[in-house]
Amino acid sequence: MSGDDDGLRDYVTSRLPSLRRSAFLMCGDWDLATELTEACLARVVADSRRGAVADPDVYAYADLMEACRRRNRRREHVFVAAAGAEGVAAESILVLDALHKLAPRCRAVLVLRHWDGFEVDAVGAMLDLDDERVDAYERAGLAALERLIEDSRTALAG
Amino acid sequence: MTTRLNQLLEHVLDGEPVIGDEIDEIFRRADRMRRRRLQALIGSGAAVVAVIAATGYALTVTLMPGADTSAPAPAASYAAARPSAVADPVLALIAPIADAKLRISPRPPERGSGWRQYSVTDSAGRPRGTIEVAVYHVAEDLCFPVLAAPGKCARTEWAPAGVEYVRYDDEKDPDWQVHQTIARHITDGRTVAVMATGERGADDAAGGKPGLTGAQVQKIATDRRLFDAFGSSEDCFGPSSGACPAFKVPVPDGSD
Repeated sequence: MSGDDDGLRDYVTSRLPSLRRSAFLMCGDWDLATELTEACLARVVADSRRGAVADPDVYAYADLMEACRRRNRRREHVFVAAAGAEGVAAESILVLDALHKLAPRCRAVLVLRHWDGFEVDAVGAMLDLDDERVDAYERAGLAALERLIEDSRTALAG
Repeated sequence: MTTRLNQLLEHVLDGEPVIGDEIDEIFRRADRMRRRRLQALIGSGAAVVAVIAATGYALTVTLMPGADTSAPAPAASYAAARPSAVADPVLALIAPIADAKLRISPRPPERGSGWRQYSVTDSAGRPRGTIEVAVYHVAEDLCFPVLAAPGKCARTEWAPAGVEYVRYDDEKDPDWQVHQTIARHITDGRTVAVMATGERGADDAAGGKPGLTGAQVQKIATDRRLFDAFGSSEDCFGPSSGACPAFKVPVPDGSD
């Protein structure tokens, strides 16, 4: 991606929705996700203009995941539906609740691998982890998520 | 679970709000970031310049002998007055000739373009007057003044190395005793005046005696090294001559 504004605008336009969804899966609040995504993409634009960004996707997702991780240290993980949104399915609430019970880095691996579809090495570059650690986080995260969802379903059924 | 997780997450995002003017807002934020970075860069640059200037000033004050920061001498003439980085060569010439019991130190304002002045104190720290030295460029043959006969020229004495001089010692006034010599290097016309005066307001004539005798003043003034102790551009007839010391017998500037 070049540092010219047309190229940057195209990049921002194409990446904003997916980045914002990833941020929402990380923080559970659409307003916060929008704020974090805007700040992240503004940094991508500013740093790309001065030629400081080699791979904008790695830069953007790494920055966004770090911002979400810092934010999650300071607040409870609470799912907040968008203002005026239709009723959210109970299954979705269970998934989000289970996702947010995972450690932030484990959650980031699952979001980047299973929602954004990045390869293991790309996720490792974004989260500053080696491939084995990414695999380990992924396996542990999926197992924990499955267990949490099953537990929640059982509790609801009971 | 891998496939299922992807499908489950799709439903989670059902209530996603529409994107409004977020893209324009992102570019506005990027512009604000750039401005803040630029301001920070300018601020840090200014801070670096200030630190360098302060460090240079501190080093100059610390390392340059005789650089008294309280001296209100004009900056331009102060800078021009330094012929070299060596400690004051005029003082280096005077000090060995003076009585070993006396201490000679720069007297603020201690120097300017073409002049220096020093305080003399005895071993007990009592003031013993001042020593003032100035250099002039005299183009024509100099008419050494005669105190008793204005308009007449004094007969000069000769010192080695082509220096002619006249001594003017005046001890008649106990409160204003003066030992002065004007010396001129005949090949280039450079002329120096050296004057030692006693402390004014002393109780008696002995207390008001200058720190240097007439012979010592003469020895200093006729030393070729004194001419070289000033920078070649220094001249008490120059633009900053107003700051030059007033001598008991002024050096004529040729227009007199």
